Amino acid sequence: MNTPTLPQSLVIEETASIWGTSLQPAGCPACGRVYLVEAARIGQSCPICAREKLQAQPALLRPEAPELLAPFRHPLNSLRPALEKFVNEVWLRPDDFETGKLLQRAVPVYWPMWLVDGEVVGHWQAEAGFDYQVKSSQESYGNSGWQTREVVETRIRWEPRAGQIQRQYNNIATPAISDQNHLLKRAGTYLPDQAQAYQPEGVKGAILRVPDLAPENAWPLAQTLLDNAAEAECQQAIRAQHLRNFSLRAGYESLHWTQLLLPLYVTWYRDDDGKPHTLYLNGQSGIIGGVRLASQKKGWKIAGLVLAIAAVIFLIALGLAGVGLLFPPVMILGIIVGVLAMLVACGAILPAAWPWQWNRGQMGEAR
Amino acid sequence: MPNTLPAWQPPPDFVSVDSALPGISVFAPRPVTAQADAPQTFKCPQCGASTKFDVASGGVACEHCGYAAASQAQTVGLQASGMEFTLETLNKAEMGWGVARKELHCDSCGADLAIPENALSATCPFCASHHVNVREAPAAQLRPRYLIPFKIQPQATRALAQRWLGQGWYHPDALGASAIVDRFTGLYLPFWTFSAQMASDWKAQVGYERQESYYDHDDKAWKTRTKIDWRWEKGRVNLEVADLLVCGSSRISQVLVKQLAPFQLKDLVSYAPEFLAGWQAQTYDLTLPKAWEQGKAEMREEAKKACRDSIKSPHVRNFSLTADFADESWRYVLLPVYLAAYKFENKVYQVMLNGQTGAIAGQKPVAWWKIWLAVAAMLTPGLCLGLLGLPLLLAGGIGIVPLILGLLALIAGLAGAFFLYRKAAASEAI
Repeated sequence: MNTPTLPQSLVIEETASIWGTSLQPAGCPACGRVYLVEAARIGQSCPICAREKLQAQPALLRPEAPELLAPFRHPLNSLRPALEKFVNEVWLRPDDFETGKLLQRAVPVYWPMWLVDGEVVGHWQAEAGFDYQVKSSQESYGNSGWQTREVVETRIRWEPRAGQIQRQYNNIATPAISDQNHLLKRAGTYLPDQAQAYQPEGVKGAILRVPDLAPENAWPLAQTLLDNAAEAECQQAIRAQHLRNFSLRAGYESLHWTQLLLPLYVTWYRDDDGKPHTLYLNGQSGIIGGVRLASQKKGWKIAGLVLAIAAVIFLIALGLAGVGLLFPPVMILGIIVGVLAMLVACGAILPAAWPWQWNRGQMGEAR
Repeated sequence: MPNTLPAWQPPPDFVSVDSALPGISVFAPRPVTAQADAPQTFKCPQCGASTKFDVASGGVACEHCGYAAASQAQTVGLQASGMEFTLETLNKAEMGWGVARKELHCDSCGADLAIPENALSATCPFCASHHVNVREAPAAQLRPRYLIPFKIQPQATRALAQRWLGQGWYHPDALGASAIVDRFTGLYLPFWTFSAQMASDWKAQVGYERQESYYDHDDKAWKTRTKIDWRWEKGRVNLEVADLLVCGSSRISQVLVKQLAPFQLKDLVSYAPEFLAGWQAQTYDLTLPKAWEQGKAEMREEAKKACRDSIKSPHVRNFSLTADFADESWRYVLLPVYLAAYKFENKVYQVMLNGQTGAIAGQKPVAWWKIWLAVAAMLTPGLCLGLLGLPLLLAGGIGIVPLILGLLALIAGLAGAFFLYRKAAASEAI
């Protein structure tokens, strides 16, 4: 099947404003992300990676303004309680990981997503799985003779199916930025049906992410998503409970691409080593996500303090043991205090190991 | 579908089926239709006479012009596919053969034939044409799918029966010579075959013998005695039962059917109506669920025996087991049997002959005077020794020895007599 005709992107010069706004293209040399920002924001930290300052640069994007925009439903301050809870869940957090600082650094960002409409026309084949039930039994023998217990099992009968398809699919959500899955994993999902028609005033004060997946780059993903929708509908048409080995040879007609802007607050904090970490606050649902690292340095400090207390107690125990040589009943007290010193020393393991364990889990989630 | 769709042909032998969504057409493999269920009449393509299945040629043959056509049916043997116990099939199987046809229109001569109950095939009394599939199954799965064709020719049956009648010493001497076996009727009997895997977990107290020394205060001596130490044990036995046969007809003596076994299921062929042309065939009247209950009862007894056999000691108590069935499957097959009756001294006896192996089973009259004579001969040594020993014992001699020998001989004689009686009684029973 031929690749269909797709909307073209153009190079927009760094000084040009676009989409009816006064925003102009700028990029981050560290992460490579491109934004449309107010001129005053150039020279400030990249809102997402916070590693470098934004620099004016040309952008490659579709010249037509986005068609849809989902407005911010939550003002930033209304997210303070949720953010506080999010922060306070971390024990031994870095000093920079603090609600006030995070809110102060938060920047409203609109990020793009493609909504693709299209008609799938072609033919398909698959193996359809139909559930059926079989009766089995379990026989028990004992003093009262044989007893039967019936067991009903569900199995799948696979049968080949084929056919033709001509179906229209609308608003197939297709990534316009390559880190969309990562972002959705952190900030949660959006409801595209809450979007409104795009107005330039709607993005005032916000930063706009420029798609790094133009329609020609996003088309293979959109095609897969259209195929997946077709597969689900074929299963529905067959009335099968399962489907496997689905193959589709289809053409895609009447394609229409809509750019939707989605609201997000982005903020960041620095860990023990001064490395910035980004947090995402969903502007529509209020969900907060991002890597929350604990401070290993704080952990070591507390562990050291606990060990010092344990050492003092141990010295007292030694002193009591020395007295016990002269006055034996004191020896018992010395042993008890010695054991106490050991227990306190063991307690030092907790602050030392907890940040490592917590950070390991956070980095695992991040991957 | 609009004309904008690309040119496409469904795969061969696929047919359009219902789709739940507009804009999506669905094609599925053509279902196996109930062609085999449609009544068929067998006529010679050369002379128009009625044809029937001929055992010697292994196909349909015409007795008038010599036309013969070998059967195209495939021998599938033990690879014959089994069916699962789906709830759907079991529900349909509960109905038996449902509302069967009572009449069949003979498309050879136009007569309307009354169909005997449970018959799968029929012969028109007016034109002698043979009809097959005169009944409709309630579901495709419940039609016979495999059968074993007759291997024993009808002409050979009488000689086999006469030889069988002449065997055995406790039957009347004149039986082999004077009994006349009526014409054997070839009949395909319905059978269910069942296969399953069983995982049986057993638990029991197992006793182990040990010798123990003890002091007998009466005899003032050390002696040994056997003690049994009991301990709980458990184990698992995996058992595979393949092709257990259960007769699907309750109108035939199950005793005789069991004596006809085994049938060699490696000779199973795919069902084709031509095998039944000119032969009688019955549908089942023992439904699948009921037959499976019988089969399962036999299987679980096998599992129980296998578990007991796995225990090393003969001393077992508080035995219990749980058998999980898995991979259960069944087949509905037709197996060849010849049926006949013969008269001897104005009494009618039944005979059955395995149409595949020639094994024969049936009722045989017993010359009971021979049995009683034999019983007397078995008991005599014991009684005589007892009679001899008793006066000797009273006389204070060595009578105890013949008395004990007599008792042993009497016990052996009684056991032999009992065994002989059982065998003779079974010979007359159905």
